[in-house]
Formats: sequence, C-alpha cells, structure tokens
Amino acid sequence: MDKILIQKTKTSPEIIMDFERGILDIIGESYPENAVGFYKPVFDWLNSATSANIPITVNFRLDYFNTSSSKCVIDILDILDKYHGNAGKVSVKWYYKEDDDDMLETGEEFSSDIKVPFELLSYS
Amino acid sequence: MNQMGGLYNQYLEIKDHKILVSFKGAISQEVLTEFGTMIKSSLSAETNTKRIFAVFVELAQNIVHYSAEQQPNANGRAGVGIIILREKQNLFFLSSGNMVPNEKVEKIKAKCEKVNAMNKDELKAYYQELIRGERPQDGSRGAGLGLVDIARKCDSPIECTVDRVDDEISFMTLSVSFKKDI
Repeated sequence: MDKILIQKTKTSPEIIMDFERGILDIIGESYPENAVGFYKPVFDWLNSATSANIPITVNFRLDYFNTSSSKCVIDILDILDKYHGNAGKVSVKWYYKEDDDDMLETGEEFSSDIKVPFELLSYS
Repeated sequence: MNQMGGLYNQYLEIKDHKILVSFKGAISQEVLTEFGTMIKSSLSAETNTKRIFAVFVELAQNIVHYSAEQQPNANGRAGVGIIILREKQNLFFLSSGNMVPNEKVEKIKAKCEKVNAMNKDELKAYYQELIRGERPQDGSRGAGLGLVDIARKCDSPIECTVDRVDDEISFMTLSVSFKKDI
C-alpha cells in the first residue's frame, strides 16, 4: 500500500500514513469544520493496519486541537488500545512543545485510561 | 449632505472600550480562521494566548454549527452571530451571541450552571467522562465537550444571558474572562 499524505491546512494537521513502516504521523493544529469527516481516512487506515496485524507507531505532534478533534484523538487511542489488548504491537509517541504544559497535561490525561505503551516527549 | 458620516465616534468608542475583535455576521470556517489568526498574532505576547484562541474557536464553531440563523455560502455552513474580544484593566473578556430555539435554552443554561459549579479537578473528570462516552444523539459534534473545555480554559464562570426574542427564538450570550499577565 502506498504512503498516504494529507497536506496540512490552516485548520487541519498534516497526516502521513505509511503502511510499509506502520507509521501514522499527525502534525500541526486541528480544528477542521467537520473533525469526524476529516479523520475518516485515518480510521480507514487504522482499520487496514490492525486487520493486517502489522506493528503500528503513532506520532502525535499537535500544537492545538479543538474539542471535536479531541474526541477523534481519543477514538484513535481506543482503537490502538483494543489492538494492543489483542496482542497487536503498538506504540504511541505524544510530542509537546517544551513550554506547553497544557499539551503535556492533555497527553497525561489521554494516556491515563489506556494500556498502550505511551511516551510523552518534549521538543523545542 | 453627509449621509454616511465619519467613523470618528465609532473609532473612539472601540478605542475607549479596547475592543480587539468585534464581528457580527455570518461566521463560516474561513471567517473563524481569519479571526483566530488575528487573535493569535495580536495577543502573541500573552501567555494565555493559546487558551483564549481555543475558547474563541469553541465559541465561534458553536455559532457556525448551532446558530438558529444559518446563512450557508458556497464553501459550506455559516451561522450568524456576534463575537467580541475586549480588554479591560487586567482582564480579557470574550463574548459570543447568537439565536437559539427556545426549547434548547434551558438545556444550555443548565449545562453552564453545572460546569460553573465544578472546580478544575471536577471539570477534568467530567471532561474525561464525556470524551470516553458515546457521541450524543442530539446532533452535537464534539460529545458536548465545548462548554466543559471553555470552563477549564477560562478564569471565570461562563456567564449565560438569554434575551427572549419571541415564542420561538431567543438570543443567547456566553461570556468568559481571562486574566492578563501582569
């Protein structure tokens, strides 16, 4: 399967879905008009990746997301958690700007209810 | 003779009230994005900028999706409303207003009262509960998280004011404030 790239816009993040390497990157700001519609390709990709039983790494590097996007982020984490529970290989990396305490706290909150290996990583 | 008149009085009024953003009209995703960018750049020195921006997005997207006055354009949805950001002494005030059907008024007011009665830890727990739950069936897009998120990010209760327009519709104003850096 080819690598899928969704270019970032002012209100939606860049998304890179690399099936060969099992890597999903979500980078930027997320407050699209219709978050559920925007993230649909991501859910489709996760569906294929988990069905194919490949190791998956998800890198979140978000500066800001609105509440409807946050619900989608949680839905992504829930899918990964389920996959992990069924012996799928998963790791999540949550990147936050080193002075962004809110984004660090959000990462802590979002990882508190799931068992997936979850790393919080700061960048400058 | 001069039907339009100069804008000096309006200029002074906006200047005296330190109005940073004031918009009434059809708010689409594009309009929201432009104002959001403006807020980020005009408040870039404030540590609270990201929170003010985030609350602005929630309030503006509320108008886009839920205003009872819809004015769709070629690019999609647009809801009519008013949104004002102003500063006064050591606070920023952010307010939004739009028409809502009367039957929805009590529900929104009750939700404001519920989150206003919560402290930050309770809000965090409530946010977690909502985000892990199913999406509500009332057409809400964000699992009803908007007001909870606003309450978590601002430094005041959410003030909800309702002006009844007629038997079907009311004008609802939501206002919050943020502390400035001193």
